[in-house]
Amino acid sequence: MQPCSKIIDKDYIFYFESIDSTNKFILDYISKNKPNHPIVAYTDYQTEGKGQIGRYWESETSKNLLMSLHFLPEKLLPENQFNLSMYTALIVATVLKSIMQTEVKIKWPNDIYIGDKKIAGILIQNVLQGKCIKNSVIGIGLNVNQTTFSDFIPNPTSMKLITNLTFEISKILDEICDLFFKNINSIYEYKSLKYNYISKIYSFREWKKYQKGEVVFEGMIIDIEPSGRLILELKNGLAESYNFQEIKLVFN
Amino acid sequence: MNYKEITELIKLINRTDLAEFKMKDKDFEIQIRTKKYHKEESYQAPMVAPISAPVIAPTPTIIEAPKTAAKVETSEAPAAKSSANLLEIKSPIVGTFYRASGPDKPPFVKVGDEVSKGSAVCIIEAMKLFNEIESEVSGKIVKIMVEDATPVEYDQVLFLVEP
Repeated sequence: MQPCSKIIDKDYIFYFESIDSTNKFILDYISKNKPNHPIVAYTDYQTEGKGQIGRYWESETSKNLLMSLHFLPEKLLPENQFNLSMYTALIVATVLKSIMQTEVKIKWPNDIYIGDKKIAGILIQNVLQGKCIKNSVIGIGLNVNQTTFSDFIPNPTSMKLITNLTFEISKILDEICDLFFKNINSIYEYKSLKYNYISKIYSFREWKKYQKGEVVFEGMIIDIEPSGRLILELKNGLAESYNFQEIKLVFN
Repeated sequence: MNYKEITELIKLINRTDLAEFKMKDKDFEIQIRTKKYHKEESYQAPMVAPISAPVIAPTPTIIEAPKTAAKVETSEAPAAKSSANLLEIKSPIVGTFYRASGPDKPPFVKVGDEVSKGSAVCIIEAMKLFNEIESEVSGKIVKIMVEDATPVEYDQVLFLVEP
């Protein structure tokens, strides 16, 4: 059975042996076809896998899960869009935990960590018109069976590196898709999302070194603002909030 | 209250929806008014509208009279203010404004380009979420109000469009 077909009409499940980027495919597809139903796309290999603006996601052919989910958030206001980030990270973390039976953490804002290493990344692209999120495209890259990574990728790991087992990628795709769409109304539930998100935050309430520009300082994550800004307690007793990319965690 | 506490207070208020904040403690008194305060004031003046009007106002609004505009957008270039009947494309969120989808990609729009309802005009990144902003209006881009890769505020004018 084709992955995701329990949830998504098979006409809207797109598989590619190779493609530039599954997120880009869906964005192009929705701009041409204006679908009013969810779409899933997945591939064995991406030639232009996307990370943040100007960054790339690297993956060996057929070794990892490379997927994008599309849906129409309808009532979600643009200012509440961090809910999508928390929700997706929680779905990926939950699926991984159930398969691997190990603790899975979310490194703010939405990288998935096992131990001190990154196992999955999430890239969300929305289409906004006025005060309405018309479309949301959620790209997920999960390292499954790949065991060697380029030197320039910071602290990667994979399911196989951790367990020594080989996993069936389509089964993981199916589980993520299933859980994602079954619980989709949770994206409107800020309080419970935040409660669950906070409980899985990497380095929560631990003193760590952070870097802002050239300055390195100690801080402890104590909370997250609704917009997603990170609130750190500082050694002088004050709390300060930070934007994404304004600070980064320093690994020892 | 000392200087540091006041700074903290201002920061905190800026992150809320508050228009005005007053506090009195014995002989100490402080009053802080935000951009929102001035916006609501000037929006309400010309219209007989309920208080909720600015909140539900659609994103593109016609610049009404130059006087009103001057009060709302102090940072706006004087040339733009004088041209009446221009439509605005505003930012629906707080974030970082990008004119293209990547450093090596062409910008979505340039001055002089025609846009129609649904055309992508920019990307606003907020907390690693990338938002492609579609125009709600049709017309010609006459001014781009924000520099590439700089921060934008909620409701800040991004583009002026001649219908």
